[in-house]
Amino acid sequence: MSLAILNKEIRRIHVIDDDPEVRGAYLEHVKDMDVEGIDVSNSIVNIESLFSTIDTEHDGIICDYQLTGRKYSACNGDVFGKAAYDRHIPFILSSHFKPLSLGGQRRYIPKAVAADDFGIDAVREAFELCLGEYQGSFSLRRRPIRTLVRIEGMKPYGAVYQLNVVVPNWNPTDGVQILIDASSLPDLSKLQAEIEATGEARLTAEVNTGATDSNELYFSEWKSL
Amino acid sequence: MSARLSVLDVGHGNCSVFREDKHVGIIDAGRGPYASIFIESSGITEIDLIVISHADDDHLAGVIGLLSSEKIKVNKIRLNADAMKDTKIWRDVRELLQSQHNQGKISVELGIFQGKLHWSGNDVSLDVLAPSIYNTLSGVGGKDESGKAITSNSGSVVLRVSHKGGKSVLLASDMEDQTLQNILDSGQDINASVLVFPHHGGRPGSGSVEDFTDRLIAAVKPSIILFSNGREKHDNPRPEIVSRACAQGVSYIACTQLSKNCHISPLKQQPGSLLFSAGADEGKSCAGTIEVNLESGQCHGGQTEAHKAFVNVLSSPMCRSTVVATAAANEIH
Repeated sequence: MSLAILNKEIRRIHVIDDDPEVRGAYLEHVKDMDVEGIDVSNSIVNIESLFSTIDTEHDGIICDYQLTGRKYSACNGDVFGKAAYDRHIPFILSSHFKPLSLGGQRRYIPKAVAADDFGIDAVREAFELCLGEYQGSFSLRRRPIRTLVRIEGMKPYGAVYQLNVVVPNWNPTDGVQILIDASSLPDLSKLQAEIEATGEARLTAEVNTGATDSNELYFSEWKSL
Repeated sequence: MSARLSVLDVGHGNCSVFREDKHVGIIDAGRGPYASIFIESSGITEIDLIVISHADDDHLAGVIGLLSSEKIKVNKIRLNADAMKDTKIWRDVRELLQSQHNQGKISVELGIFQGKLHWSGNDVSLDVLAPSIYNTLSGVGGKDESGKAITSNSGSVVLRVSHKGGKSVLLASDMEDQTLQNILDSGQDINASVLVFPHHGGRPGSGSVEDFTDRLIAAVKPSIILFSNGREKHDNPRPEIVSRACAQGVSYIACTQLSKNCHISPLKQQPGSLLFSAGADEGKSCAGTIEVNLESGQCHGGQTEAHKAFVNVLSSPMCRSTVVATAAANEIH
């Protein structure tokens, strides 16, 4: 029982959701893929406790986004997505919320799907995208391109900022709202002053400007012009 | 390797990359990341010259990616500046260029008009056919020699890339009937082996589409016409343009993306059959990026064969007669 993707053999898929019924539904899909499913039923104390049970060579992960509601997990699925990416483990994020706003972690989550779109094909595609990126190969929609980002508004929420941004090299007219850690933005006070004075400021960032939908966009590695 | 020019599949927009030995030039940058991806994936790290024909975002926006890149060095940019454009994207480009200029990273030259354009290679030359000095000094919003208002499109740069062997490619940007008349009135030779048809095969200003097409083809006398079109925008190229081109004896016609007039639903091609394509993953591409050998004035042979095979499975391909004839000619040779 295994799934072969890009020269990798996936033998087990861990299923993470705070709702046992949803986990059960995911496990049915895993069974249909002829792979062993692992039901992550115990509460997840932290990232390390989860990943200590995962074989980085042969395991994959199906993970829901909302996990903190029933004291099931200390953090949401986007954080596990980043951790899986760092460890080169294939991963798919699912959520019954639309749009999928992923707390600034979209860079590290190659495929996120609404619950209605979840299925075997989505899992396979997600794992292919992950394994490709781990080998340095990005699809057009995911490839990071450094580009100018115009910021037309910013609002603090603790250590996170909500930015209203336009990526002119992606869509010159329609903006998107994103959440970014304040620590990742260069020269924050200058940025705020510029927006207050002129209504707009410009930085560069790595953005997947080949994305076809705003929900796929990610932003990382912010720099001054 | 021979000098070559690639008309990139960037969706709706224009971006042409020409290469001679180690020298690289780009005429317009399309929209989206495609110019940057093509340059990076081709192993190009330095661009000698970028020319921006006018400030519409389907020609301009991609330059933001090229100028922002830390992997690509752009030595010089020449812009057909547009004082009427106070769009945010034009301000984005202005800020980016100001920053790069202040850091000494790039040479910026404003204003571009009829005459030779400096190029570092030996075999290729660049001729700007429009706008004239008169029109450039007047600028968008002003009047041309005949008293007509100059718009972004009618004032866009028309540029010919020529090989010393005699073949050439005319990059017509978004020229309109008025632009063509200005060129013809100036007595310039506009002849070229390959024509990248203006405005992506869309309406060329307010006049008759058929008349414009006939007049343009009669003046340029191309054997090949290419359309840099996007499947999702404006249903380009217009059927009457393709029809007139076929009637005028153009021997080969190709579009970067698959027009809905040729096939109503998207159609994916075999992996590897396209050189580079913004639309391949979604089945939006037709010929994809089209490579022209500047010395022979011909499109890449293998690509022409793949294009023919693809056209043969389309439900109503507008270009069928020319594609089939070209493939037959290739077989004879």
